[in-house]
Amino acid sequence: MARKNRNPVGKNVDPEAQKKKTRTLTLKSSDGQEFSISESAAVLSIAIENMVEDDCAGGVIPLPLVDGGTLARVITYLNKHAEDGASDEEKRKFDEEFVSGMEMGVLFDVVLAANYLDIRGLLREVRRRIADRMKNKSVEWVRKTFHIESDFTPEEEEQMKKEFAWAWEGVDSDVDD
Amino acid sequence: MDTIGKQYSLPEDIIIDILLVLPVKSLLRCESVCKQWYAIIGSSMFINKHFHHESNHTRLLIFRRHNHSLGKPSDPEDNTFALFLDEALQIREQPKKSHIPYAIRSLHGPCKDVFCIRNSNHQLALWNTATRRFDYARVPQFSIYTSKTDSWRCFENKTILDVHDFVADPEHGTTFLNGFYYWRKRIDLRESFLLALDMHNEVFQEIQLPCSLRRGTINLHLCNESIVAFGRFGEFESKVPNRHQLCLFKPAAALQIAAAATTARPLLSKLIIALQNPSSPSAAQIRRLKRRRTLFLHVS
Repeated sequence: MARKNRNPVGKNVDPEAQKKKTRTLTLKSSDGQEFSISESAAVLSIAIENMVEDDCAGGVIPLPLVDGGTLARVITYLNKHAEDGASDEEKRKFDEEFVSGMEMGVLFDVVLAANYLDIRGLLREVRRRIADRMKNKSVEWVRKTFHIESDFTPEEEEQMKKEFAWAWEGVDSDVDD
Repeated sequence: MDTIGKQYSLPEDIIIDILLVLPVKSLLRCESVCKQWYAIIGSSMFINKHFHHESNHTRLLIFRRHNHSLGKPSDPEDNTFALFLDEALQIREQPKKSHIPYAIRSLHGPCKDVFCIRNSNHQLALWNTATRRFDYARVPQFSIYTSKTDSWRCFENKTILDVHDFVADPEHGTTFLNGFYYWRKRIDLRESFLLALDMHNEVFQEIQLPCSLRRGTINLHLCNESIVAFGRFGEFESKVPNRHQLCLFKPAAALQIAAAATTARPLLSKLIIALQNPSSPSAAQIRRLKRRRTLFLHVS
């Protein structure tokens, strides 16, 4: 992976890292949109890094499991994290804002893309955001959001609710925030 | 992809990673989402991972024990609990009377989040501080509880055990670390050592204590990945920290005492601040429920 380089005009610049910054790759989404991205940003995805190393990139990298809208978001994230001179604090703030406005459906798309592209930091951030949203929500809200149908009988559900009644106290309303 | 997230549920490995970040309270509700989630959340693999997960905050249990005053036996009704759910000791929860219906005489553990409690009627109960389950148990003496099968198993090797190790001596803390259960075994008034029970094969090992800790009262607790043996003695100076002896040891391979420290001031002063409660009776025990940053204190 590209070495962090805070002094691009200095003498001790890693020539390999420098090359990665100037070289661009093209990522192609499932719906045919093409995006240019510097190699140093793209290889923050372990999956893309592997493709580049195996030299199967060949100019355009097709990503058939990621649609254009999601890929654009992922690229925004990668660019920020590959940015020279961006402090950890800045990146942390960016991460927070990056996921805060997303609806659950978008978060699901991004978590799937981050999983597929193997971008650990993004995956962790989105997972945490999803968990945060569902933390105080009702069982019904969780089912609806995750597209799950209950396979418990009403009696079984009632029994579980009775066993840990305290866990059902203080649950938020089902209105999404 | 916009459609994938909206029409289908996420793959199981992503679901597991999301659930791992949730607090226990949310997980108890999520168990009733569907049978797949119920199986995930109830699996021992998940429970273990969740217990050690960075997002699972340290909880702190404070147990105030009313000490014997001269000529009077201690009254378990005077013993009180407080459970702190966060590191900063801000969120406090008082277990309700309906939750723990009898006065608590002593508590042992924790084994992960579970304490074994003895009430004033000498009944035993298991108290899971994470799920807040409280189950009374009819237990034959000297048996091991297995949560997986929800059953008690009698010890084969009883010769080394004495009922007084546990019952008559509730003040002596016992504790659990990495598959071993530790408690003090007293030979006579002047001599004691530690017993370590390997929970998997029920084999006992004896651990010698430093000379200074062989007499007096000892509590065993967790401190990070070490066991702390904490002793109180009459012959030390009167200031609280000086009256205590602390022995830290790593029970890993040879079960040897690695280091003995006679001063524990930073540890103590931090905890004494946490304990300041003017109406409190004479004794208090603190136990952290997590291995990370585990601290304990017994003062009088």
